[in-house]
Amino acid sequence: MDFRFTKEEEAFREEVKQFLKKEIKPRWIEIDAGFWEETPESWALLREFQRKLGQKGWLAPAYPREYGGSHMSHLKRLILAEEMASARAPVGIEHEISVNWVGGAIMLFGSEQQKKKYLTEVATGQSCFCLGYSEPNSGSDLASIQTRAVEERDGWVINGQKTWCSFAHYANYCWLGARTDPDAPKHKGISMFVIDMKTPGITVRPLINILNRHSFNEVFLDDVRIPKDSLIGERNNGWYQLAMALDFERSLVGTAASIECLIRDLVEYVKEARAKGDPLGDDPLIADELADLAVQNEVLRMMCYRIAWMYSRELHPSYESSMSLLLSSELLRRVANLGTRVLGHYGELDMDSKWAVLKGRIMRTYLSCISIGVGGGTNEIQRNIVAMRGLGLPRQH
Amino acid sequence: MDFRFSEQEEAFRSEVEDFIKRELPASWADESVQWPGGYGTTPEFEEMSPPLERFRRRLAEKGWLTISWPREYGGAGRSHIEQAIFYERMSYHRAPGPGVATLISGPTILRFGSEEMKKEWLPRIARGEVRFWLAYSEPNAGSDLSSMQARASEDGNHLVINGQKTWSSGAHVSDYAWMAVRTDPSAPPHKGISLVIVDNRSPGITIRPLTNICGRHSFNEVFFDNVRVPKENVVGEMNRGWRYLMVALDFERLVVPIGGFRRTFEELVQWAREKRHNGGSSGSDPLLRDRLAEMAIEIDVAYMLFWQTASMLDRGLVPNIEASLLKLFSAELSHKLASAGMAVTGPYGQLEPASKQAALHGRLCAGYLDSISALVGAGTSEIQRTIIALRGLGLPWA
Repeated sequence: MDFRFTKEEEAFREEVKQFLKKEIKPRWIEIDAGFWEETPESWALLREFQRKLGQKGWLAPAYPREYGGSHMSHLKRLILAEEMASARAPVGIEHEISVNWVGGAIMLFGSEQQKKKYLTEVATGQSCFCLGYSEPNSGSDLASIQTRAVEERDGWVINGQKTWCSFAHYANYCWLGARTDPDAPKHKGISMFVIDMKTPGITVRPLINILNRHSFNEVFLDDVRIPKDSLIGERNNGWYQLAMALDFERSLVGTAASIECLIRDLVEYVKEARAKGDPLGDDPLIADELADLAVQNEVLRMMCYRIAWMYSRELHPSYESSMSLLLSSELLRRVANLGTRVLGHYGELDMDSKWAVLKGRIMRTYLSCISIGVGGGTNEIQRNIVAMRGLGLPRQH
Repeated sequence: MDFRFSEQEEAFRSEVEDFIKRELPASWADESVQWPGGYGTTPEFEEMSPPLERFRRRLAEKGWLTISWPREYGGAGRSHIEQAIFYERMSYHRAPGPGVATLISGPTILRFGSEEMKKEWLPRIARGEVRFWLAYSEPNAGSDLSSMQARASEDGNHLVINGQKTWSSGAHVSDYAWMAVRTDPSAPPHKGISLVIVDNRSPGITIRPLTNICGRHSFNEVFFDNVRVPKENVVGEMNRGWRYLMVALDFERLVVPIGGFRRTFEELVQWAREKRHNGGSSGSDPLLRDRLAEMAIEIDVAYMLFWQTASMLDRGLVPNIEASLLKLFSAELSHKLASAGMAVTGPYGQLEPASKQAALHGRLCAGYLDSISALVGAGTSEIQRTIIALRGLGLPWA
């Protein structure tokens, strides 16, 4: 066991830092966009930055070169993710969706032709994906999805409705789960497809999120005709492929670094801000909670490192990813809660107020953090996975 | 709604207070390791010293073991609020007295027993002559109580009992088992159970000690081997025991030594004020102050739940979800108070009663261990939450 990065890795970290310092635009820093709060302007900045990363082979660094990556080690990918999180770089969740979740699954299950097309497009930042998983009556019980795909002579016809589709209004493709065998048990009749979002019959309607921004959508599929090669992997093997993609989704390796940014913000704030003449940080209740959050975040960092290490050994993190997502979602909520207590009413003001503190980040985190712990599987689902796959406990009914 | 006690109630409180101060050995409140909410440090579940026995007899003479019972059955004919006031003062002084027979079995007999049974048992219970123990749990029936397997078959005017009970607190210092037993094995689990009173001296009963986490003998396992019981000892009707048991459990869940929480908390605050710690009192540590303030709030909430149940009983209602609420809240409070006590007193809290240095005369040390029993006895916290969900909120069975 060696808990250090190699010299080469440290040098790479320095290279990333320099790159980010040079390439992140001041306007991006000014608008300070976080999770689920994209605007047309922030989206344009995100995509522009990501194409730049793509040119360097850093958008999908671990992909093989033939698919637009740099064949970079997973530990370097971790370093890149950490530094981008620390710098609050313009990398949104749509990049994770496209490169790591959907891309990861296509890498495992796609044909050579499909890999060449979709992986190269996402690795260069040309295209991005949205997820077509949840439906109005299928969330935690995802295997009950009702959207149907019927095979015809020259392709497939899709009918149904998806919801909570983040960025469907921007995405080029949808990675969609649909029922291909309605007579089979529910886990055995699902297949995965890639659908071009420009296909006739697709209607995308906005759902405005808790930050008053447009990130979610409901997507209606009405006789959507797609070609034969839209099917990814084997027919009726979709549940397995979907579960693998969900494991990738839960494998974010930059979360500890991004939560650290917020903890650091609060630490800096309590050192400066004064109550009755003394810095807020002298309040033992605040110092105690901050110390506790720092401890938890170090645990989270170790979990992130383990996930990166497992990938580097070509292992597939499963319950390990659920553990880290569970911890990170609960930790982020605690950070946001402490932030609101520390900042008082000031913490309730958004960045457009002249009285806003920390650019309104705390109130925006407080609002957005509740979506983490729901998306990618609720915390209850993550605990079920840890119980079943991690501890070998029996399935609940 | 009136949040004050009446003059009569206030006068009664003073009378109780004076009585306890006069009759209970002065050193008892300090010596007792009884932890509020715990089952393993309860004096009634162990052999009591002669001065405590004398105190119990004095209570019985006044009819105070059974304050709210009608006078004709040996009670004091007072209200449930007055009984609650009495019990609050008693538990504040850690005074022993009321037990399974007076608090759980008696009220159940009063509600469901035949007139003969009431006349036979209630006056003896009120006089403090007989002590009961609860024969409910079995090695394979705890939270799923209706799966109990101890069997009673009929033989003329008798039942013949075979089986085993466990976690039987105080069985070794009691006179009678208040026993749930299967009388109809062919009926669905809830419909074939009867409640029966069994004499501990009956041939065929073997009581074996189980030493609890505090190192004390409160639990037992009890074996029944062809034990004969007269049929007149069956409470109410045969095979309707499950229903009576549910009410008996509601009564049990009301037995919260509410004053013990306040007393222990006051002692803890006293400690925090006086004990020097890095040059200041430990009570000046903001983290500890925070926890103590939290406890003060929760103890007040527990008091409100406690008075609420008493007021319901005075209106002729049996608190059900309210009993579960009170039990759940006070059990968790028992556990939290012990943890807060450990945080406040540091290593001194970890010393046993024998040490002069022990915080709160070693009560914390025992209480920290005993408080986990609070979360299990009389229905686990999970069971209480299930009751609240099902009966209180109308949610479906899981």
